[in-house]
Amino acid sequence: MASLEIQKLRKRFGAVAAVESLDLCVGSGELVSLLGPSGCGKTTVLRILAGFERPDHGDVRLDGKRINDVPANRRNMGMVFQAYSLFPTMTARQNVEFGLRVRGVAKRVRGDKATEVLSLVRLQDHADRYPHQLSGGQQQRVALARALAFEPQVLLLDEPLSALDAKVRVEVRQEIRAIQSRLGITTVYVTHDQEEAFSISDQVAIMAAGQVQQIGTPAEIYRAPCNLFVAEFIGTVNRLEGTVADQDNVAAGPNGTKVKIPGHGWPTGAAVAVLIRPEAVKINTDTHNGALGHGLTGQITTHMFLGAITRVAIDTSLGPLMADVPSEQALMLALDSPVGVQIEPGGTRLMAP
Amino acid sequence: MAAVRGSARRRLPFWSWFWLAMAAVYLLVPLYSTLQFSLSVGPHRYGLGWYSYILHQAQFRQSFLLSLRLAVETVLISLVLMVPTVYWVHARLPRLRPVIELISVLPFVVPPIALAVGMVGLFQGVPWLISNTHLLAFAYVIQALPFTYRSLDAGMLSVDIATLTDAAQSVGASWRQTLWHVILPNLRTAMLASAFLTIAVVLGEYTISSLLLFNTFAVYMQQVGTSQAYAAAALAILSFFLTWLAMIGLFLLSRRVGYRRAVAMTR
Amino acid sequence: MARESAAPPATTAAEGSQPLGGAGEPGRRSWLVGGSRAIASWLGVVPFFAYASLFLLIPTGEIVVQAFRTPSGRFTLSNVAGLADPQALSAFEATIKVSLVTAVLGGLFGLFVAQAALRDGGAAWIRPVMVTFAGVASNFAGIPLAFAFIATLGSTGVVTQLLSRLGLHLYAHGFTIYGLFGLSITYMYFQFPLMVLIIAPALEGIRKEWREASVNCGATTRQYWRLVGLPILLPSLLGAMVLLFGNAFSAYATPYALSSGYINLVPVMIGEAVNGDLASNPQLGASLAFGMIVVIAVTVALYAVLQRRTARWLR
Repeated sequence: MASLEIQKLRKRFGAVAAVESLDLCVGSGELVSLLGPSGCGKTTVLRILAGFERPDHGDVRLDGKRINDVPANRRNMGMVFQAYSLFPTMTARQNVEFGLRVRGVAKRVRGDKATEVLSLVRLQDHADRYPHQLSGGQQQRVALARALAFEPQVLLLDEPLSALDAKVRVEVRQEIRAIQSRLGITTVYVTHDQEEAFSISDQVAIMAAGQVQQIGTPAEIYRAPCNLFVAEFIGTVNRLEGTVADQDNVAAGPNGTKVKIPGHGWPTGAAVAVLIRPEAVKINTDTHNGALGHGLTGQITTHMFLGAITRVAIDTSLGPLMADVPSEQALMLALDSPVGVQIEPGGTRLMAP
Repeated sequence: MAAVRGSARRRLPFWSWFWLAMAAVYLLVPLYSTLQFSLSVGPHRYGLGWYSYILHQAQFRQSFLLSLRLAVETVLISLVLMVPTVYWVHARLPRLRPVIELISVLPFVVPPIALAVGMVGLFQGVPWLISNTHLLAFAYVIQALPFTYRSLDAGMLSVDIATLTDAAQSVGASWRQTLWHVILPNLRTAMLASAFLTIAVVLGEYTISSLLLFNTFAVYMQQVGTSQAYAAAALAILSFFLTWLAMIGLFLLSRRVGYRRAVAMTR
Repeated sequence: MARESAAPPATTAAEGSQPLGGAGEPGRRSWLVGGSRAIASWLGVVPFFAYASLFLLIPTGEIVVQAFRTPSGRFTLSNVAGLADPQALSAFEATIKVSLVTAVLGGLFGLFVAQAALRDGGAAWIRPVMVTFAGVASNFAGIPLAFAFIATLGSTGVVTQLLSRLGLHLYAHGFTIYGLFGLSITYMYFQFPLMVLIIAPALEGIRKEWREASVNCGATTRQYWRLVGLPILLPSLLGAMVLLFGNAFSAYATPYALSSGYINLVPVMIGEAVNGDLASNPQLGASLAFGMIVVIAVTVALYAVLQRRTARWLR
């Protein structure tokens, strides 16, 4: 399987810079997601990889070899589009065989291979159906089979699940990941859905304004976002403005309440953004002040039931905070009741504002 | 197409330019030839003689004005007949839509030459009708029906008739008020489109008017053509420009009307 | 096909006859109450049906009736049998020939032009120019078109003389604008722009993803068109050509002006039967008109069938 390397990629459309000096490495057999909001350039990067766009500057290398000048129909990369890409006049089987057919593969060999990949996506019984007879999820699975049929070196997916229902999305993404890791095929996956990217990727590259903000494993990015954009893009976070009081404390929020973050490493007096993950905000109905460290109090304003977790909004002296609480505990928290609040230092992070 | 490199995408490949050039040639050469003929006042001499000749013919003015009048009549009758009908069908009788659609396609199936046969047969015994030019306008409405209906139907579909009607009713409007104040302003584009097409069609219509023995513009043109080829060429060019003038006139008129109404509404 | 113009019937692929929901339900949008509401609903479309009956349906019925009636008023099949006369038969043959040729050639030419104008990466100004040109063509169709081609390819036509100077003497080789071949060339003037207008929505309905997916799978441009593009386009293409056929078949003004009645086509023959030299034979005219309606009804039905196939996958 091949490794992919992008160096100093740049692409402008008229006056707009879609991609700006981008570097990216995808190791052999890895699934790397390009994650970012609309307009961040992720789809452009993918299309440059596929050969549908030419970069203004920079190189694309496959296994070390520069492929900028290789036309799109010779790159041997399978691509799954967002929607509507199955050929409507052909059955699922004929769609899947297409890549082999244009390569001149013999009929019997094509047929066997098509059956093989259709079984991989568990649609061998639907092989003779036409696209309009298949559901959205089924169509995307056929599209995946078609992309894999000619055994490409790289698999490219452009928001393949965006057009699907939420439940189907979860099923299909797991299927994609299972097939990808079973075949060990180098994959680049574009999405704007953070949960999707995090659940299936080996590495995630967060993009904004045409550049990679951070690249790392999902856990790394979640725990240690390198800048404010990434921190706020990934998951939910409480953000406070503050000033460093001393080497263990930061005065944060409108009232300058002290938050204990031992050994944070920032110089005293520095202006910082304090980021606190909701799961690091602990609620204590035992309103004994000073029981465990911080001695913050607050009043519950709203509950948002999210299933296993309930997101609780609390008014504290630090300002309004969101806390993620196991729903069973949340049941016992009455609105407007005073509670004790503790911030776990492990779930906080200081950043340049 | 999509497989081409970035900068080359802007430029069209050879074959595209070839076909577009062929199309342009095919459309423009006859126009040019007609123009040249119309300016030929003698062997290798060019001038506007034929134009002034035509323009001084009483028949020219009469036939053109007749056709123009018929065009206006046809547009008015079309709109007065079709707008309420299409509205009604959309708002109250949507099940009839396929039926109306079928009828609107019939003028294609019964071409003007055939229809003229039927009309002659039917109205022959009614001299006051068959020699009345208004009969032509009524026939033209049918000829234009496919285009009028399609434009209005598409226009109604793009505006949410049901919701607008409900909204109007909820504030107490009658169906006439609803149609005039609410629906119509939203249909301006569709009505204009159908008016343009109708005018172009009527100004050039020959078949029915010649069979029913009326002297419309096209009939006059044909008569000139049998005897004087060069004058006929001048006439063809004139007809071309006059039709475009009529359409531009309508366009400008519609903008003035729109402006006036906007001003009136702000009072 | 009511005129040899370039204005399209403009049926889009996404069109259907789905009724809008809700109208007619009790309590919704009723300006009258009770049972009179139902009658009032139907009253609204009476003007239209009355008008269509008077000026379309009844005259059409008149044609059918006349086609089967003797001058004295009795039912007969002899008029329709007269369609088997050599003169009538040759008229049908000639008309069908011209219509078929211009439908296919005009269709192909129009397809190439439309594709050239509408391709991805094409300039934005091409579309409005194309529509304008189509308007030009539609405007000129009929009598002026005949004059234009006489001026172009007549015996003293501009192009004829140009070719003479280049050594190609058209008329010496037997070409004439006043024959079937010349007529076909003239018809092309309005056929191919009509095709452009009709096929444009279908071309635009071809999703970019199909092209890109085929490229990604390794197909060349030729393979794409052969295996993907053309099969998708085929129903629309055939449907459009069918429409073009009907359009050419119905043309009266252009062939009449071009040939002053010398070319024997069905519409021209009908005109003669009503008004002209053919010893004013309304029965013949009616049966010819009837035959014409049958031919065109078949083509419209064909078109409808092909349209339905298109709608399925160009949605």
